[in-house]
Amino acid sequence: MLSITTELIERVAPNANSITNAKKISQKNDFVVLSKSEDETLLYGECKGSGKKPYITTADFIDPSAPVFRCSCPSRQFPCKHAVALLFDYMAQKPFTTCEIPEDIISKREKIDKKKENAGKTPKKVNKSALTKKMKKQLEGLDLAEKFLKEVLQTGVASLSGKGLKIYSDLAKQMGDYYLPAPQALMQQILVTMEELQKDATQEKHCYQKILQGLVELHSTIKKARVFLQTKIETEQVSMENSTLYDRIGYIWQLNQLEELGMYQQNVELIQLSFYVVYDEIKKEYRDIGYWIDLQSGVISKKENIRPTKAIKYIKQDDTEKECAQIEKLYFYPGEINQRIRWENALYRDITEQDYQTIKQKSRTTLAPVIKEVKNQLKNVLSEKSFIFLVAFQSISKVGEKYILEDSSGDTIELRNKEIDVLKILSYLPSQSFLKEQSLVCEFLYDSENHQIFAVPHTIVTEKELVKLLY
Amino acid sequence: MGIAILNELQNRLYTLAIAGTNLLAEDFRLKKTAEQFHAVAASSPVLSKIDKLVQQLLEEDNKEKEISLMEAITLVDAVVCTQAEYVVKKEGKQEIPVLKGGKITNTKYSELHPLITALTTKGSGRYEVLSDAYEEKKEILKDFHILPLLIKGFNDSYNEIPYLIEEILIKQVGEDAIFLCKEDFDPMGGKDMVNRLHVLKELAGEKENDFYISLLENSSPVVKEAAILNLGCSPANADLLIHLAETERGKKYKTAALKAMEQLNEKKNIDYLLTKAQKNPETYLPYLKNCETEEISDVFADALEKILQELLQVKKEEKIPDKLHKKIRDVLISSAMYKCSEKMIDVFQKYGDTNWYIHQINWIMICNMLDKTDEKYIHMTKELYQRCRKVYLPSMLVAEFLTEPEKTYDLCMPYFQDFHDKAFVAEICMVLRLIKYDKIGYYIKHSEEQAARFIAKEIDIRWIESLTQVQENIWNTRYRGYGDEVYWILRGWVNCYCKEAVPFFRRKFRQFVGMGFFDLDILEELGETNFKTLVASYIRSRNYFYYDFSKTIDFLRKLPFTEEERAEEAKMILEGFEKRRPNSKDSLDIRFKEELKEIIAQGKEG
Repeated sequence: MLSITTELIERVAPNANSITNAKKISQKNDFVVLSKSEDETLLYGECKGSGKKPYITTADFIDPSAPVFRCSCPSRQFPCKHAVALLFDYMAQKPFTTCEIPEDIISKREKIDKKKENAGKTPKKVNKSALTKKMKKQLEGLDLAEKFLKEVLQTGVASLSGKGLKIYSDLAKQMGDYYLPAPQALMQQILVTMEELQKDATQEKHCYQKILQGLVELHSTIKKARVFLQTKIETEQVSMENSTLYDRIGYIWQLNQLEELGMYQQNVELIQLSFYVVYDEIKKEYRDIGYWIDLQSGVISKKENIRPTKAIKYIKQDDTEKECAQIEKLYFYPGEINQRIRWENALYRDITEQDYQTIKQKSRTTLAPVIKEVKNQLKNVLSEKSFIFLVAFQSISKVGEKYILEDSSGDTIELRNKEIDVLKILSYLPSQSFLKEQSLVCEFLYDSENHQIFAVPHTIVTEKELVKLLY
Repeated sequence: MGIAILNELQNRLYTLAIAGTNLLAEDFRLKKTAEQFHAVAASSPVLSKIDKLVQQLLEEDNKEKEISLMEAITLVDAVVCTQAEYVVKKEGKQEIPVLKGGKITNTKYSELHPLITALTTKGSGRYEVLSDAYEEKKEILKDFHILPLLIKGFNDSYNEIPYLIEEILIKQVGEDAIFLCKEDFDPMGGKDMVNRLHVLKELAGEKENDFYISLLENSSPVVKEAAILNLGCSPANADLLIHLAETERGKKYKTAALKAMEQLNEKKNIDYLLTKAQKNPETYLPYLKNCETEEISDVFADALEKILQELLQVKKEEKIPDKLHKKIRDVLISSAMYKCSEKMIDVFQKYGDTNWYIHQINWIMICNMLDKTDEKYIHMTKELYQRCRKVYLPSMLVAEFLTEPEKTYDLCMPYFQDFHDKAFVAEICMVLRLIKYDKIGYYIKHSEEQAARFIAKEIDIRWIESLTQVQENIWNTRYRGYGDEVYWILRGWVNCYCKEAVPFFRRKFRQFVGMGFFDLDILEELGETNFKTLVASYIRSRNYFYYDFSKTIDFLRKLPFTEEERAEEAKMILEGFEKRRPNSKDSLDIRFKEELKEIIAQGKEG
């Protein structure tokens, strides 16, 4: 039996407007024909449009984790408002007659099946000479980046200003020609921070700290990437491998590459623990970031949806997910803690109380081993700078103006805000019980100015619900 | 392990990076620190490694000083961070006070974030986001993410937002908002604190009396004034308010005290106001406007009598002096509500006989009748009509609608023989505009806040027939900017269920088309089937704004046209639009024209 829920509709719809428009179509009963196949895998409708002939719309659920929507309307949006409206009509339990599956749908299904069958059989050919050429170009770019680094350090970070900033800014732009978007972003960040410092001298300490961290990171990237690329060229092993350096260079992974390296897991159930959106001013892109927990292993991974501002109209924004995702094939990107994940198709089910209890049981019981892991990562310059863990706590309370989390062993850590004033809203929770003997999804960060590790709260986990703090 | 020396080394290396390796030779502090570090480096392998890198950096013939510097900083940073602390002191630990009131609504980011952005930034459209949430998703406003931001929204520079937030807190959040308003209250604050006091007054009333009293000292002027106003919630403040009115130096504090007394309506305060009104009626009588006793009514009547005598001294060709006009407006208009003693009726009769301020008196009596269910106000109106006739017809008409609606047409029509008296017809139209139809029947009210009074299931068909005449008639009321009053009357009266009335409404709304797009909706509801040229009439009749585009297209698509008629209508609109905005490059204009062309093309295909 086909199940259409509001959550499913919100998930497939390209944006809020299409949902609004689809609701109007459904409320006005614009579908003059509503049918479904006997096995209820196909919904079929004919919808009044502005033309003489109605639009033919179908929703094919032969693969429930990857429904296919088709419509004869001229809209370039996918799925269009008619397809979404068809789902609303089904959800509203309007009468659907039974129909045969049309021939064209059957043949399209066969094509999709064939494509799936053939996928992975013949591995994609690797164009070695093109890749080698690219790597050599990248090595040239790394030399240029190192030249920038040396010049800046020779004359001093403090001397970066005016004309110099402009010259280096142009140089940073050129990094794109050398297929080095990540070092490019690092250089741009350094220069932008310097500009900020010139506008506001009171931020001197903080800005210099940030610039120096950027330079150190750039230096490590250049050093390691150079060795990595040179080795690959010399040994002619140009194909992809499981290495975080690709991320440092700015390479974009394809799913088939992750598949070839065996970097995936099958039949996984994930629940979203936290979600937020950030805007990267340097890269001019939005990043929808969700942290998900594997119900079986308790591993917390990161799903990141990148939306460059140039293409913002065409990429759907991720959103809070209130259901449990059942994923046939979950892909992992190279990394250690909070590896980035991605999937193509998933089914969804309601989260049960048992699930919340399972999540809570996966919590780390004390802070000390978590901090050890964090420090272990931090000492690697090229590691991520923040780490998400689920930690059980005895209490969240205040000491003066500071907020602290205390674990069952009596250890404490300071809680701080990042961009949003999360701590303030703790006072607006419905009850004190949320601040006692629960678990907290938190982000561990290092304050290099004060040599202190602190945590930013994301979500409180209780036996009955997830209270997401971060919006 | 010598963390202090390691931190010092880190600082020195950072300083070198900031100053530049060109100055390395003169960096004696780095050299000194390096020496000190060298002395302790042997204690661990990692420190030895750092020491080696630093020594390498300091070598005079090192051609790669910058790389050495980076290597050294990288390793020093790595070691320093492994020494990072995390434990914080917990002595003096306190529970975080949970203010309650917040709900966990589990709203998605995509719904919550625009609201948060509207409440925390200065972007355009933020009022609409907030008001849409209030209209369509009320529950979200109680979400624990949103509550603290609502209070912050009182600081918004766009005036409408604080007022909307007041309404949200009062009507949607309710008593839980009391905590929010008191939290971090700043007695020296500005209008944001005043907004909080407004909310406290509505939700807490006299329960927070002590809090209001605490704000009478050591507070900013606006907060003090608002606090004095709030004292009107508690009868215990009767004496305090008199004291404040007598002793406060600032005029606004005295005024606030008087307003609070008015709200309180305590005998002590009424007696005080009456005493003061003997010497200064214009100042004090307005604060007795809600009092209905005979005694007070007579005091008002005496004051109005005096003013009338002054008015009679003014020659007909002269303008009423501003001071006198202010006296009349402040005493008569704002205060003579709910006063119906015999003396008052006599005074109003005198005003009626001399034709002064009749419009205002009529409206006072209309408000009296509609605000209060006491029959005495209807009797007063009828009595005055008996005595003065035409001048009090507007209020008499309301009295009749409330008691014998079937007689209203016959009451009115004899006066319309002379339909050149446009001012008079305009007055009657303003009364008729108070009447509205909903599915149950016709009702009347004088303002949105007031409760409606039911008149009858159907209205006398003669009214409708008269008002819906299409030719020139008595209802042509272009008088002093009143506009087409009949349009607004019929907008409220239109009734699709009365078979007898529908043809009249239809003929008149066809004539109205062009005033507002909703007329097309009304015509559709009235069963109209011929819409040819009607949609196109909008492009000719009024200023055409971008938000009209989508309505035009919607109407073109949904109204019962044939394909050819639809295409023809679209063509007319396109031609009219091209004339109004020839060669426009505006993207919205271009899109609108493309949509019209699409409809025209579909008509040709059909």
